[in-house]
Amino acid sequence: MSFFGFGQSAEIDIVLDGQENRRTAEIKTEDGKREKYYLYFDGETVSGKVNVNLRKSGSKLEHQGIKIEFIGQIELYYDRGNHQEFTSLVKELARPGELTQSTNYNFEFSQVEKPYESYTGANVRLRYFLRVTLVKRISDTVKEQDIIVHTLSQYPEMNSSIKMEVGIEDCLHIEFEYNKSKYHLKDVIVGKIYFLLVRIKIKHMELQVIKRETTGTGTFTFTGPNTFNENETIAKYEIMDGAPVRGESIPIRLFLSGYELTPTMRDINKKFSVRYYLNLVLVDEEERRYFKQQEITIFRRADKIRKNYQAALSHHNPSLLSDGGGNSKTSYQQHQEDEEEEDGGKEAAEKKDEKEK
Amino acid sequence: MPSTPQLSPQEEQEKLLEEALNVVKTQAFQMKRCLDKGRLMDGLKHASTMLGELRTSLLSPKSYYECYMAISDELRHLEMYLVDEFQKGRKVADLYELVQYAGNIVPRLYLLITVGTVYIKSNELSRKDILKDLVEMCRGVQHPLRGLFLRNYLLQCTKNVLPDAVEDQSTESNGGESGTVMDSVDFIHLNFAEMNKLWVRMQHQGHSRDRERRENERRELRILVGTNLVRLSQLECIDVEKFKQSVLPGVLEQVVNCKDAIAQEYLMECIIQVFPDEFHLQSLNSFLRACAELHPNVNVKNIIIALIDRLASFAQNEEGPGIPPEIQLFDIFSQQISQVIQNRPDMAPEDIVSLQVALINLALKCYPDKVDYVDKVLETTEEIFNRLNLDHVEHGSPVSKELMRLMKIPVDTYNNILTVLQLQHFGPLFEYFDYKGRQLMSCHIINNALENETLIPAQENVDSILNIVNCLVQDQNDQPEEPDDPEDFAEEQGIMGRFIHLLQSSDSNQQFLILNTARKHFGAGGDKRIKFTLPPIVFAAYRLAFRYKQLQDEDENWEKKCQKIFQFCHQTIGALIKAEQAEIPLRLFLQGALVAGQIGFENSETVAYEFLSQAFSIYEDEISDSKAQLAAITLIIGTLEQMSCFGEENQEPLFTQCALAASKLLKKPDQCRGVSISSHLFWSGKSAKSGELRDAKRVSDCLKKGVKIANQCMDSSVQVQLFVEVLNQYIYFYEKGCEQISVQVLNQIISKIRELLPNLESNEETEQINKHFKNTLEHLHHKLESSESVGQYEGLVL
Amino acid sequence: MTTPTATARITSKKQTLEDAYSPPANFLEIDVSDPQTHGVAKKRYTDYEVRMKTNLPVFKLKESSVRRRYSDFEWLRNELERDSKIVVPPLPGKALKRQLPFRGDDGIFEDEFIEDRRKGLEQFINKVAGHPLAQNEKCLHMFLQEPVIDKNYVPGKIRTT
Repeated sequence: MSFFGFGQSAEIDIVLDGQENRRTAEIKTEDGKREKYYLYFDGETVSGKVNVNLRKSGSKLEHQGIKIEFIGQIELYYDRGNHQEFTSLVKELARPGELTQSTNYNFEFSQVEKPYESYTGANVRLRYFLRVTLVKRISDTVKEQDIIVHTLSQYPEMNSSIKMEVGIEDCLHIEFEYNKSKYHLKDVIVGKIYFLLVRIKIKHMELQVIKRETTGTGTFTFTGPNTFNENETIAKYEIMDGAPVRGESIPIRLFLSGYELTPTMRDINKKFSVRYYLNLVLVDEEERRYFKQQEITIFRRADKIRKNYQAALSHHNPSLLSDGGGNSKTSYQQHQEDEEEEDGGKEAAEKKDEKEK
Repeated sequence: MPSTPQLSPQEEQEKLLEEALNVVKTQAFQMKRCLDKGRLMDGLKHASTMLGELRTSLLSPKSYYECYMAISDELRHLEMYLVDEFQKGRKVADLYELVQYAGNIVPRLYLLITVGTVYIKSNELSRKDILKDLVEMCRGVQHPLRGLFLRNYLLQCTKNVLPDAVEDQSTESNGGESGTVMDSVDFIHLNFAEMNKLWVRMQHQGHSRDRERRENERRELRILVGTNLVRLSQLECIDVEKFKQSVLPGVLEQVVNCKDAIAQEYLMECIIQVFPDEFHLQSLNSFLRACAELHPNVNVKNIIIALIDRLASFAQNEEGPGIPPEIQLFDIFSQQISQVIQNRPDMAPEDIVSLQVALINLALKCYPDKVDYVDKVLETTEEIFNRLNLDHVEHGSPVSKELMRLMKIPVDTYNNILTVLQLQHFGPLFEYFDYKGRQLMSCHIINNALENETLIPAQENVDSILNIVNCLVQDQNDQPEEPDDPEDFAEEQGIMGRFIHLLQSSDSNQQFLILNTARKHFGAGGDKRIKFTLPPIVFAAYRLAFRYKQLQDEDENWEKKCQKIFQFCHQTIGALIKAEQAEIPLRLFLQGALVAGQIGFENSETVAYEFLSQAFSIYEDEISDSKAQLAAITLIIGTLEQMSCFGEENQEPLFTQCALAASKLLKKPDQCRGVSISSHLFWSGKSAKSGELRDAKRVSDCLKKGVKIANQCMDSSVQVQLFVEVLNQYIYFYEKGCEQISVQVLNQIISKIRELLPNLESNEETEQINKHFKNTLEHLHHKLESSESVGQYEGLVL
Repeated sequence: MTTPTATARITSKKQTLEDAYSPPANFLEIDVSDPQTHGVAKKRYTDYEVRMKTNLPVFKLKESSVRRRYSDFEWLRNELERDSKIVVPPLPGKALKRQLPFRGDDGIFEDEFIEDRRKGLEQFINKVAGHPLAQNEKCLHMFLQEPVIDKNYVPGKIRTT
């Protein structure tokens, strides 16, 4: 902005109230970098101070008004020009006039509603930010400041286990059980696989956590032509090596805190959803894959602040220990895996109807 | 890809193993470096990569084992590091949770076990919970080989941290429940069950054509499974009660139900080996019941034998407590073994007998005084043979070998045939052998008696033994047509002859019964046997007669009994004559005559006369060979010369008959010698009343007749020899003072010899004669010069 | 120190001893062996013994042996391709080059070639027969267990229950 002409220019700076004590959170940018912003929750007041600093002293700055906005928006990457703002609040900081010296303005968005969680996905981004605009005749001076919003959930009252018998008729019958259907981000999935009939030569079995990001314009179903599904295998966790026989019970214990998860998001502003599935995959000696996906709900638990080390470990340990099978897959690998599963997909079509138990 | 030259499977394995070990080495090095620098996360990452080598399916069990050993060595560094850190107070919280992020299950579980062990050692978390968790989580590895090694690692790591207390000793400070010994038992039981399952399942892996190779591989891996039992045995708080109530049943349940011969055979032996004898003693029934339920292919015999051997040596250990009296060891084994046999209709008879062998060993070692136990085993064996319709145990067959082993045991243990005879079923069982088997066993029994000089003191004993060893006594229905090698036969019968001398009772009347019984048995032995067996009986009878003589003051019937004995001997010798024996009966009669004469009972002169007459008859009727005749007449003369029981009316005809018989010998030299020898009868022969005859005239007549016959001899060499012999007879009588013999006669014979001797052809025979003559002359020289015999040989010309 | 979740598990039913020690129910083993070359000139062909052992109830016979030639394998592959949804694995190559005239060797009747093809066919048939969906196809059963393949058969599914 300062490159235009020789006139006065201003630098805008937003300082949030209580900044030094406020927690921060990280979020990925579109290009995969991590950025750290201050963390807010739904209904929290966002207040602070806007500093407008003039670059040259002794020269005045004419403006058409200064305002601050609190914006929550959804960006679909394939539709860049068309951001959806689901929240937009404006506060006028100054009427049109002149600034002769650097000036501070206090602002406050009181108990502002922040219905969704900040999110950066493969095709969509949901972000909250404050935007200060110093309106000028030729070009405005704008300053944006992102914040991160976490949506908190109470521990669900209903959280039944998932228990189901699936199989291929006369070939493979298994019963799987996950202790809950709703898991918080730092939760642990405890379960077991019970084998009722094994007539195929199983080589190993793994449990995957799959994130499915659906973007599109449909209202209830995402089957319209503008719907995009993006699957990402967040976790790939071997739970069995070798072939079991009838009556075998294989334990499952998968800690979620090590993986990069977000809460489940369903039909966010009719623009996108992020859902999670547990995918149980059995691989036979001929590399044929048999799988069963089961949706689980991930939520962010509103509880005490966990100790620091927990957070620290949860970010780096999976890649340390997962032998490359964790969440750090490149997109190329991802693609390959999807192909692999097409074969299995055909078989899955033949799987007998699952009966809820 | 560049084509690699074809490698043999072994080279392939070596290459794969080398590659794996290289990775292990590199990663272990990195791991340790990271740990040294305190970079635990990186260290764990390398450990995980290293453990990735254990995910392979390419290595053979042997190579996999080597890889496993290398890795578990390296993991010990990690464990030590962590224990150290924990002790220093630098705890890594949630490490147990942290290692569970590893994506692959095999490395994950190895790390979990390693960390879990560290937690236990540092009293983090509840020891009980961790152990339970580890053993449960390992279910994720269902691949037999990898699962076996993983669970073995679990056993290795937890070796020294298993709870071993009767009561839970946990306090607030040691992280919750530390568990009791029963938690350890549950832990090992579960691990054992899972390992055994994998081990058995391994059999079904891969192509069916490789079955045998797989069996071998499984055998190589058995120690992995057996380690569970070793761990159980190392728990000090397990007492007999716990062992009986839970430890053993838990193990046996798996062993019996796995229905796998390789596993069962190994594990049952393992149980025997690792647990103390005191435990086995108190749980015999359940162990043996399990034996009865094992797979038909299991060599259950070896298992039971191993147990019996252990308990038997336990019973014999002098420092040990011995078998508790309330445990009927023998009865338990006896019942359970018969159950085992019943459950296995296809069990080989030799294996059944082997079990009986073990049982008999047990009886003899643990209950040396209980003959009825041994007998019970024999009875059972007999019953089994009956049930199996096995009435002919062929020599050389496995069952024959085992049966022989079985039956030799009481013989060799008691070293007393009389004890063996107390076994009611020894004889009947003996009958199951075929001829050859009976023969060998019989010899064994008899030799045992000979070696131990076991005296057989009663008629019934004799009867029993001779019935048992009947095949050495009599011909058998099943004996081979081809007779035995004569030398072997003679040796065998010689043994029997020696054995007869062991038939001795201190009671004379009993001894007589014994001899009668022996006579009855051996008398049926046929011509080829009795010449070995009857003479010792006769001699024994003669000895008995002497005993009665000694008892004359105590037994008024002694003379009648002696007569009876001589009747017995007469008849026995008669049997030998019927068997076309001559020389032996002759000698036996002569011996009888001598004995009768010496004892001097009522009628003994008549008996002696009869015996001598019998000897004469044999001489006349049965001996035709000239040399044998001379020998026989010499014996008769010798016998008569010693006897002194005859009155003149008996003596004269006997002597005359001898001289006559001698002079009628077929060949001149024999006649000469016979006549010369008979001269002694008339000199030193004794009559009942007057002592030695000293009839110089008849002596001289005999010798003259001898010289005359020698003169008629055509062969000059023989003639000279005879002259020398007669000269010696003359010298003998001359020196004895026979007045009918003069120096002149000696001179004549000497000069006659001198005359003839030089004409003889020079050969070895002549040399002998010459020497004999020279010696004779030397004797005379000596006499001439000796001061003691001055003048005796006056006029002798040398 | 550590949350109880570190050792959380769902308790499982105890496996019966019978199940624990029973042989696995997935036994299936097919050997392609004993290649024999019959006929002369244009009618010359090689066939193989296809011997199967299994404990899968879907197969009528637990042990069977048939003789099949390459074209029979091709037939099976085509049937499966057409009638089932499975991705049928490829057969070893047809070796068209080897079937050209004027070769210095025995072409497709060379021992080494036959051995390679045998291995390939063995791999193929094991893959196919182990496929749960292929196991429902009539053509597979006919191929493995009927003495003669009736190529005019009515395609369909096998139902065991």
